[in-house]
Amino acid sequence: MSRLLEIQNLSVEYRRGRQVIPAVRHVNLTVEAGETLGLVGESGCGKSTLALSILKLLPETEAKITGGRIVFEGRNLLQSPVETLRKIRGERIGMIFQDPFSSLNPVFTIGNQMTETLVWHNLSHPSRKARELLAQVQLTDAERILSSYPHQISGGQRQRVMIALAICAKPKLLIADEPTTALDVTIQKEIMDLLIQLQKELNMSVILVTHNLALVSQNTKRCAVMNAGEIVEEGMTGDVIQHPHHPYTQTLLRCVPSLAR
Amino acid sequence: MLIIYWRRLLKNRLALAGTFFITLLIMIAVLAPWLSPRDPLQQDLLSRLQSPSRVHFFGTDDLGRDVFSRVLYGTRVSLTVGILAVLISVLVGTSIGLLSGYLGGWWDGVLMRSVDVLLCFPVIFLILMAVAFLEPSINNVMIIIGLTSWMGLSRLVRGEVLSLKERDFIQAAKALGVPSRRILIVHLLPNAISPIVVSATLGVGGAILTEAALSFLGLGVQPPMPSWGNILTVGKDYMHIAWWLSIFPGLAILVTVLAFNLLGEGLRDVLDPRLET
Amino acid sequence: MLAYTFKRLLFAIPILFGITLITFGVMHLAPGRPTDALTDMNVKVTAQARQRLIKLYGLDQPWPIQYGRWLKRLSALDFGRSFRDDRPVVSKIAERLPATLLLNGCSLLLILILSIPLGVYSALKRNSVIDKGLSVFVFVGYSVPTFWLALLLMIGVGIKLGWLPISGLHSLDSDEMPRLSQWLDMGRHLVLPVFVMAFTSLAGMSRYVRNEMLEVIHQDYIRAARARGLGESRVIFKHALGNALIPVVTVLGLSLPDMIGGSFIFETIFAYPGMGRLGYEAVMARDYPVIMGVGVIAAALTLLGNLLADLTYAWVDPRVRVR
Repeated sequence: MSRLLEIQNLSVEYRRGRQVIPAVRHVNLTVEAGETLGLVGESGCGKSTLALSILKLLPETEAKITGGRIVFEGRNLLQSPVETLRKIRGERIGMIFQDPFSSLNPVFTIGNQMTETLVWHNLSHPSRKARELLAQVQLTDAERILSSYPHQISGGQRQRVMIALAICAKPKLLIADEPTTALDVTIQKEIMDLLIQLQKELNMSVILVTHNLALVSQNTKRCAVMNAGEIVEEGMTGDVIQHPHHPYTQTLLRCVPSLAR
Repeated sequence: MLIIYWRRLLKNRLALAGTFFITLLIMIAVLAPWLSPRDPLQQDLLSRLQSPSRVHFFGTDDLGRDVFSRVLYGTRVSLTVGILAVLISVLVGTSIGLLSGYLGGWWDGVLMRSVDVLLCFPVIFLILMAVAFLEPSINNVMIIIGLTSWMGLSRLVRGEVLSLKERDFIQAAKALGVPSRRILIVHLLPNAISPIVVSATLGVGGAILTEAALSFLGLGVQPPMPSWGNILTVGKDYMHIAWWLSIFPGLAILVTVLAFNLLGEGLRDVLDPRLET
Repeated sequence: MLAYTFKRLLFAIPILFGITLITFGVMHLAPGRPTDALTDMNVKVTAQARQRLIKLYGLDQPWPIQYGRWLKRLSALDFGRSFRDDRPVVSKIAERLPATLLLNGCSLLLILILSIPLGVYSALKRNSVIDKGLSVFVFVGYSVPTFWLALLLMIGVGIKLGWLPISGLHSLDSDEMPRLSQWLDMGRHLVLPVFVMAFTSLAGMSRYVRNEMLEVIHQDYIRAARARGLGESRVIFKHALGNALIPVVTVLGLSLPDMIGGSFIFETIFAYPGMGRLGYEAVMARDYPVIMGVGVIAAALTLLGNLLADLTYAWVDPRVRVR
């Protein structure tokens, strides 16, 4: 198993006026090829910040990466020129976000946004590819969806569209930041199943960022627990859940009675 | 709670700057008779259209009057018209806004449609018509500006009332049988005050600009009473030979309106409900 | 979309009625009778003749009837005849309206051309020199008496430097010029009035564009677009601007009343042969039919502008249409 992504000693700070708030402290994390890694923690522990820093998507005026390296396919992303980073986004690393409604541009049709992305990544026959992608994410009503605006389709459909957009160029790594949190419970399982299936089909790695331990236990092989900007525990998911070492992990597990012994 | 506002006000640079200048202007207006080197109404036909000198700081106008003194006295006109016109528009606008928002239904519909219609008219045209038919004078100008600029405020107040109407404390008051008039004045109004204050302050600047424009066109304050606008009329008539007449009254208007705008914007920051923690 | 258009047009009708009502009301609230202007100056007019004139204009009828009659004539575009030169009001307005539309149109264009880049730049480069300069500019812009600005420019650029003409739309000898020179001549005449008219709105609109852009830039879909690898210019110009410009369009429509109102003042100052100046002269001369005509047309144009703004907004923003 080769290492796809290596985060080494990463630190990120938020700056608001005179205040400096550390969000990520000296984090080390690796992602192997083809595996699903869970990144668990409560709101505010820094997991989303960590996820966003991989593709340098943090708001520049507020957040600053103060140290560390993020090595992907042999390159340090934090030192890469803008053009390289842009090429990696979408094509080598894809990302989906928590709220599919606000992650799609409200004034353009789904078809418009999909075609735009497909053309941008130089994928041939974009209109045909768009329909294939929609089928791949299990959306059947392709015509209607392509001609609709984001507010005209349901939350679950929007998230599937987002996933389609993220995997269209067959990236090696998919970062999923709370992909099911904003969805209804019944849809959550469908989306997770879809993600797992796509992971197998495309042989890609997935980083699943979530506060939902149950989700992690069901869908990931390895996981890392985060608290206050630091990784406090890491290991095979089964082990972490059944034999938690760190007191924080133990507290977390106690809150989910179905998982605790 | 007022103490919070007071403290914020003292820290806000815009508001402080504005207040400073406004105080200065009020002092000039009040002390004009003592500050003016000459009588602003005194004509001296032998010294017409003189350029600025040590004797006449801003020069003289077409009838030999000292422009500096006239500009100083002009402060009185501008401040009076500005403040009183706004007072009128606040009175009318707030009343209509309160009624419209609180009563809702048919009243709301009629009042707001009327506001829509009135807003279609270029305000200037309404003012032009009105002022032309009633002889132009400082009082008429005040009243007319007041009566043609309340529409925006009424919509603002109505909006506030609408959002406050459903709040618990209003429902409670109603349930307790408090008469509507009391609810309006004692409960709703104080909460809607912030946007009214900001709008009023900024409105003074607007009223001053309108009065100046009207006087400039000959439809406002009539000479010999000095208004910054009508001094500029002379500037326009003689712009080829006495260009300096056009500079100072305009600067006076600029500074005055700027002062009120600074205060208004400062107040807006200070009274911003989003800063409430 | 069609249904929405129809609905808006329907709602506009009562407003149109309101406009005619108010114009009518203001006219008849004025002291004296409209015909006084015709008769007062002429000593030879007997009381009898005066009565006949009043009857001729129907001024002895009760108000509602007068209003009804006037409305009927309005719908046939008959605004009556000017008291000053007895020409049909419609003709007088028709010959001046294009000039006013030209002036306002150019102002609007200038505002758009300058304020959008300025606002976008300020939003992207916050706290840069240009951004801070813009804030100052907005403040000053809102405080400057624009007629004074017009005066200063006339003196500075027109008289002292002699670069641009300060009045009218055509030079005296423009009839003798070849076509192209005529156009250029008009252009030169338009520079000062257009600039002054656009000035205040420019400040406000730039700030508005800036604020809208700032809001949009922080939205999730911008981040998501970047995450897909889209280039920065595409993200800014298609995704961000595409959203930010939508409210800008509406605000533009709302600035129409101020602009048409501004016409009255600036056309007078610059002796520009437009409808605004016609209205001003009519007011000064108590030429009631013209006043009423100009009033109604001005208000109707504003209404039209607002309507167009609404419709454009609905056309451009898909979220509105679905209602």
